[in-house]
Amino acid sequence: MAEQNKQNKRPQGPAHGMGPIRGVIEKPKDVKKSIQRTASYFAAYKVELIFVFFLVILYTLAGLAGPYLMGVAIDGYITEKDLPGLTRIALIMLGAYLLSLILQAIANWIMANASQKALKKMRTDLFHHLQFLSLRFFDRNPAGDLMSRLTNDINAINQAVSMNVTSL
Amino acid sequence: MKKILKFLSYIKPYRKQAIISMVLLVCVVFMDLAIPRLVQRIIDDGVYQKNMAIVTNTTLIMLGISMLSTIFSIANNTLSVQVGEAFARDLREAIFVKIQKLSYSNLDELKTGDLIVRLTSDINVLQQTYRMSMRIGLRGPLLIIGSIILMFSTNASLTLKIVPLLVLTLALIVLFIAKLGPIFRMVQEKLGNLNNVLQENIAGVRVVKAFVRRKFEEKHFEDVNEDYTSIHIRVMRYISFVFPLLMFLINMGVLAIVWIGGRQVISGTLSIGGIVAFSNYLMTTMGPLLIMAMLANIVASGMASADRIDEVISLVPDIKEGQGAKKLPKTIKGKVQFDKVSFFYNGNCEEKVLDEISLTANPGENIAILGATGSGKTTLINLIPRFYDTSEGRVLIDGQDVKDLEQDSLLAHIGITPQETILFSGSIRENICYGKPDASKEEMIIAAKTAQVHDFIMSLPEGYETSVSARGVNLSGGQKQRIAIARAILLKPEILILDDSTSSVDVETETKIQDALEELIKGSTTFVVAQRISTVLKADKIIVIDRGKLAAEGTHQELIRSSPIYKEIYDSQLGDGNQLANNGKNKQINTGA
Repeated sequence: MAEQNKQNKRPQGPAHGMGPIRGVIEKPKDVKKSIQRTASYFAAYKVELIFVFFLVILYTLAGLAGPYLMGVAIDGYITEKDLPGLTRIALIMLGAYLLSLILQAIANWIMANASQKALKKMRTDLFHHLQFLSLRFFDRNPAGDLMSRLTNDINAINQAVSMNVTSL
Repeated sequence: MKKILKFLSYIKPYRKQAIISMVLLVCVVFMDLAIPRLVQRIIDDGVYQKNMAIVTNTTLIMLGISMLSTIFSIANNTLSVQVGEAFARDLREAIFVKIQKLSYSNLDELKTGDLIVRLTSDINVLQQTYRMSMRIGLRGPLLIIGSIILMFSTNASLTLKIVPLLVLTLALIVLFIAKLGPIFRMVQEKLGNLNNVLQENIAGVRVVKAFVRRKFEEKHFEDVNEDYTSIHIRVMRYISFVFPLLMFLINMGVLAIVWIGGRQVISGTLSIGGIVAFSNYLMTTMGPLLIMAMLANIVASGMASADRIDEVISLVPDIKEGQGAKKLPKTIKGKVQFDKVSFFYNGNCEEKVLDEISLTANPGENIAILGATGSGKTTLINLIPRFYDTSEGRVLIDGQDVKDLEQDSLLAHIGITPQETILFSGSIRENICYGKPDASKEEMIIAAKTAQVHDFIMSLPEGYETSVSARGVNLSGGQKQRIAIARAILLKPEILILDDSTSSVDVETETKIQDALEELIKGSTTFVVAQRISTVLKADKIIVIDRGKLAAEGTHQELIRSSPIYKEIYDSQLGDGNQLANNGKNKQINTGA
């Protein structure tokens, strides 16, 4: 944490607003509920997600077929010096890789649409919700913090979603 | 790309860490390259020769290398994260400082929401670009070159057959960067739009509620939200196709090795271990390519963000101290002169906001400025501290043109309460002492008493330590204004500017403030912009501005006789113009002049 110390030693720069606003790592108050709520936005795309799920399984299998077929090619054909067999298995590999490519592209494409639309809905709902909150709420919560939640935090979810769903 | 390199200078202070991180990375690359060689040795010398000792030894060496490589990778990661974070912090600070230096007219052109995106999101993107470049930017090319060399030394003819594939992959990546760069810029722009709407809405939530404009605002938000979403989907579609395609190209390489290499084995020019090592090399060549593609994606977005950050960083404040700007002495007399001053926005001299205004405020005089909304009162007083530069003519302080003075030394003599009362979150004490943090308690109390806000503050449970929430929402308009006045007079400036700063204060309190001010800062030249005629009655000189022109100048007694405009304002607010008006203070007038 040498970095932390260094940061403290540095001059704070010119006049900022007053009062220290220090970042605290905020933990979700109720992890289960937060996840459930986030998940509910993706539930609207259930059909797409299930479809993507199968596609992922299929293209993973197709991808895995590659190394397997390579093993077969080496042990079964190359060591046996079976040239027609080698050509045959090379064509099968080509097919498997092509299949993997197509399925993966389709899965990513569907996922991109679904996840971005879910995130859009999330932003819309948050904005809608904001409109109904009392003025007291706005007095208590600094505008900067609200802004950050509406954009940065949703983007964080975005990254988590687009990075992880298909990799899973 | 140029912009990305430009911001490299912000990494300089952390050069040491950055270099160590790179060196570690190079070590990792060499270790990574050694692995396929060792595998080949296990297969050819160990397994096929049935030599268990070689298998065990080589495996142990591989294990050691893998562990060392992992440790180095972790260290590289840690360092690059540290450098990245420090870089982002410095850059944020630089932009913050820059914004502080900008003039009013610069700031007029920037939108808060968009500026926030540039300060947060864009900097994050750029930081990520550097961090990832440090982690994989060097590793990728090194691994690729190393692998190609090793492949070549293993089997030149096979390598040559794979080269077109590599070229194709590289071309795809370059195309990818070129295509994505502009789209990423649009993403950040749309995010800026989104944030603008959001920021305006949160700041203006009271207005939205009061005018029942929720539906309208939601539609507005929906539009920018849709824009942002669709541009994001466009990016994701590119990515969703490019990555599988790259993966496919790598697989084609493997296929080529199996097929072409297989034929070579059959014809006896290659060993089985050779094939395995070769496909491993291919993986170490193509794997980094895939990572490079990911980096390409990041670099493309980094370029867009670097551009946007640069737009702020390279803004030239249009108000700058000239070479050899003079310092004002520690104490000045406070004479302010306007010498044929005209002002118009963006060189548009057809619509002059101020038109050849000349006037003199002698030291200690109390000048009141009266005029309709939009007549140019605020513009006029904003020229004194040089918030804007005059378009024509000069503003002189003690006979010196403000353009020839050092900004800080000029501002040190001027106290201002702007029209819009801005308080910061913090205690009331911190707010009053904002311009002079080391002020004594007595000074602070005198300022607060003069501004007629001391009693109110003392009635609060925590007195001066009561915290003001953001924008001072827990205070009334009048209370905020009085705190702002206290903040300005605490400085005991030689020139005090009160821009309509008692508009929310009742007339009686206003008179008290004026009387107390007279006591406290007898020698100060005071400019009071006012809408209410009761505010100006006692001024040494009243100035009436009408559509940017100086319409009348004189004391109340003089003007009531000589100026029709003044008399009209007076009548509309205080009734019968023949009545001499020292009793104006008991009447509450709300209409603007």
